Amino acid sequence: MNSKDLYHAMSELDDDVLERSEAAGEYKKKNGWLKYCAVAACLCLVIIGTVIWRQSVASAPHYNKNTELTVSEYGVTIPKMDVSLSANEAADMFAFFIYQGRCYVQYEWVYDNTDIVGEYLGTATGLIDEWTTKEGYVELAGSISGDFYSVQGYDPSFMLCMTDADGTVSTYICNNGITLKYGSELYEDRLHLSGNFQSVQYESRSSWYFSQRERYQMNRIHDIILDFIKDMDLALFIPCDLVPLEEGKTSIVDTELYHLYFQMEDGTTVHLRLHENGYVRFQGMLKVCVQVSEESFNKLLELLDNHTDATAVSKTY
Amino acid sequence: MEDSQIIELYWKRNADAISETASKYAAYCFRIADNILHDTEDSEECLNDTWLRAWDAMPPGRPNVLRMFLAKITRNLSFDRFHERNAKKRGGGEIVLVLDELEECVAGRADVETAYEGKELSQCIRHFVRGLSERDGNVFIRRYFFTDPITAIAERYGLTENNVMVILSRTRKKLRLKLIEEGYL
Repeated sequence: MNSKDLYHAMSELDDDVLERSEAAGEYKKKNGWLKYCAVAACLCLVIIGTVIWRQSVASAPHYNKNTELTVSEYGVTIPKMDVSLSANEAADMFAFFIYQGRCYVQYEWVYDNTDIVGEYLGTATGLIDEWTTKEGYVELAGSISGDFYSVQGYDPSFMLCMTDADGTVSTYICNNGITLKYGSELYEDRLHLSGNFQSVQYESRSSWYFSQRERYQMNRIHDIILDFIKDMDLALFIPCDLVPLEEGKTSIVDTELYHLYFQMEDGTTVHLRLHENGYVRFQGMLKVCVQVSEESFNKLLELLDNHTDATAVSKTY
Repeated sequence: MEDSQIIELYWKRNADAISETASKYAAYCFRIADNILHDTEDSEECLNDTWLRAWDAMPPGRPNVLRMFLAKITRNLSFDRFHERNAKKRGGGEIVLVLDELEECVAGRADVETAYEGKELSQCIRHFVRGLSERDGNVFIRRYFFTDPITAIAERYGLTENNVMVILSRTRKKLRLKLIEEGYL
């Protein structure tokens, strides 16, 4: 027997099992869950944990179970969502932990700079898995365990980190219970993008999707990039569900064109997803996006399409 | 058009059955073919063959789930085409990685001539998948039936790519043990 025999034998799997694998994904897509299920799975704690931590409230605070994003004069609010673990959500699927009532979800690995690790803040217990009841969602619980720290230069209410034995640093972002109006509130106030990145890389949607790793690095920082960032900073956030879609497209995912990676001087990366008509999403907060001007976006696309003044990056990254 | 109506068209030998099927399932089946072949032209040819195969199969066939019926045909035709193409050294898409991963399940035993019936092996794998947790089963199916890239599986289920790889690795080890236990290795 070889691997081809095995692959061939799988063609007889039962229809209901195959359908289940699709339905599970569709459920998440329809509800815009994607990787935010981690956030969803720990929301109960946002109530319970906060109550215990503050030790000041006799009963749970009012909590809006509506998981839809809301838009007001203050911007788009990504709510603290509520979900039952019995709703087929396996909490151990996601790397997350809870600190001061906030849920931090893993964002990226930083391989070559441990200097960003700041002050020790606590130790995640890693006690949550798919069998954990709501009562288990308490301060410091999560799907991972270990010491966590602040990240040098970043607000701890937005970003924290953990370290692995081999020195790799993994960053965690709190991407719920947050209201954002202008792009600058994310890209500048929290990610400190302008003036702090040293290079820009990009790859097509196809390369990213098929893990082909065909990345390019710009040989210099073009004015087009700087103009693009200014545009992002000035743009208003909107929920991705409100982005108009052409017929046949079911979500903003279907409109993706490029992935853009700003390599920051501190070793972190600001990973953006570029979509048709100038919509831009931050990888760590995929439920909201900004729309940059047509002129700025088209110039950027031209740069990326033609690989102008760019060099292919080794696929070993 | 509802699937049951499309199936009725096949049974009435109405040629609209093919255009209705293509209209509803071309994109879906193309994704399956393209995951295996990673070639637009070959994938489109597989789709045309899929419609013809469906035409040949109904009647007498009356699938319970038309979409999965078509998915299986597309998968098999694409895999056959991959074989042909591989013989001509034209490379492959995600399927090359998938086969490499599955090699782990039979590693060290490939040279052992073990008699087995294809149907029995399929039955063994059906039981194995049913015995997995829903999450692990879904991830396994997306990778080894639909040949989805790791990235796509992670995106579909809201997992990190690392999570997906760990789940698949664990499941492959379990499958290997199952195959040994059942005497296939």
